[in-house]
Amino acid sequence: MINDDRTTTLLGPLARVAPGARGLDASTPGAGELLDSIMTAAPVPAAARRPRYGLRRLAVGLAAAAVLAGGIVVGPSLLEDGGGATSYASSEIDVRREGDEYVALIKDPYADAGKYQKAFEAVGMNVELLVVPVSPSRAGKVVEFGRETTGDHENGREWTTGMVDAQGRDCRAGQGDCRLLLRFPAIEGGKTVVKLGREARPGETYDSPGRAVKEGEDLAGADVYARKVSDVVAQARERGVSVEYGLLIPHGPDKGYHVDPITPDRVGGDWTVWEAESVKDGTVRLLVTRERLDYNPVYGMDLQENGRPKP
Amino acid sequence: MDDDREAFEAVYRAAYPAITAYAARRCDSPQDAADVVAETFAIAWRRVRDMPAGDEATLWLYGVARNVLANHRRGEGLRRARNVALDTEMASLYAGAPDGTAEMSAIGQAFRSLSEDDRELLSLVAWEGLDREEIATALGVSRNAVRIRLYRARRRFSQALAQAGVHTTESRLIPAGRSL
Repeated sequence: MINDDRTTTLLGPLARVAPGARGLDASTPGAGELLDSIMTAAPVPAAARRPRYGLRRLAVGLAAAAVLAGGIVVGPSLLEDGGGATSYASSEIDVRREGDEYVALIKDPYADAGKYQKAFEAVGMNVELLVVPVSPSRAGKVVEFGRETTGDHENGREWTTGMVDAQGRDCRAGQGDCRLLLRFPAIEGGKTVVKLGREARPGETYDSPGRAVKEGEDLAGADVYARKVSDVVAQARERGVSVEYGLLIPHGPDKGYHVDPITPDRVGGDWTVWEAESVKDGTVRLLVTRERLDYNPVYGMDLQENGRPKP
Repeated sequence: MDDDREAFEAVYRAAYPAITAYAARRCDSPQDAADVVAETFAIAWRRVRDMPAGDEATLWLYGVARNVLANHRRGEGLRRARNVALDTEMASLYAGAPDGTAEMSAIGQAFRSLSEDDRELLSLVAWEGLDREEIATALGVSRNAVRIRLYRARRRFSQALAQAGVHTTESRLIPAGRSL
């Protein structure tokens, strides 16, 4: 198996412009002509006249929809707006076309996935949206994403998510009326599966575990990596957090690992912790090994330092 | 609006050498490379408010260029009005480039047998010299995803090299059947 250096040595000579070498300079006539043509041909791009860039701008565009949804339950309905774009509104989700993108506001994150699918179908998009419970730091983020497509036109366009309040301002999970938002290119054909994280209900197990030491999580800022189990358990107790365990079976540096179940009574206080995962509110799972290793099996070798993930 | 123009022009000047090199390394003809460069910056201008500041802008442009290039390969690229100066300048990058022997070498063939995604990842490492974090930023995926994908790409490249009879050792490279 070759490493990065070997990759560079092998592939470097194939490069038309040598690795590390600069291409053309921006002061050349061609570069100037291109810049002019780009900026005069589209000084105010049509796309920029509507809110679309960045979540905040997008959020403003959604405020109307959000306010409407606050007072009235809009039955599933197809609405044509002035530009001929198609929208869909129901009590679970609003989907609005904005230029060459769609914006979906999830009004009921606990709704049946079929309700969302119906909304996307109504505007001609094949999107399977699953809204799943996640730990606080991952709410509003995509947990999993898959797209099957044959010949699309996804020029530099991407899927973005975030959370907005009724006024369209950015907000965080748990702050009152904060809703999930999904923005995606209006591209016909293909199928997309998105798992979007929502705030978990009390006691609800997270769909996929998050890092428990991240801001907003149960062990935020705690020192857990390469520490003794007894040490980490003490930190968890101080915060009133329950502990579960997973037995890490490392496959070697940069080769991954798997986790076997293990009951707490079999875990020694002198074992080593390599990761703390948020399992549900108030509970973390420590991934442990009996022996102390000289590296952290959960992280790539280039992503760790002294057994800790690099910041 | 003026802020947008200013921000864009600064990024354009800073990133132009990197993006032209990126395109020239991946396109068979200077015209195609010019198209990719032009379309990449045109999209960047339209999306100027999405554009991150500083060094990240170049990484972000790599991501845009990658999509533009993928569309071009599917024959869906936008043909722009020819910018003759740009075409000519781009052609200068093609002069004195690695010739057919390198292209046709066993390594080149092994490389070309990989999927577009694998090739792109390996190229970003070998040609653009990006690290995992930079690749993650450029492609808009997590560092962990980059690590895993890169690991797999390197493994497949190793296998393809082995199949092509290229032995890779730590110290040197010996194409099979060729004396040194």
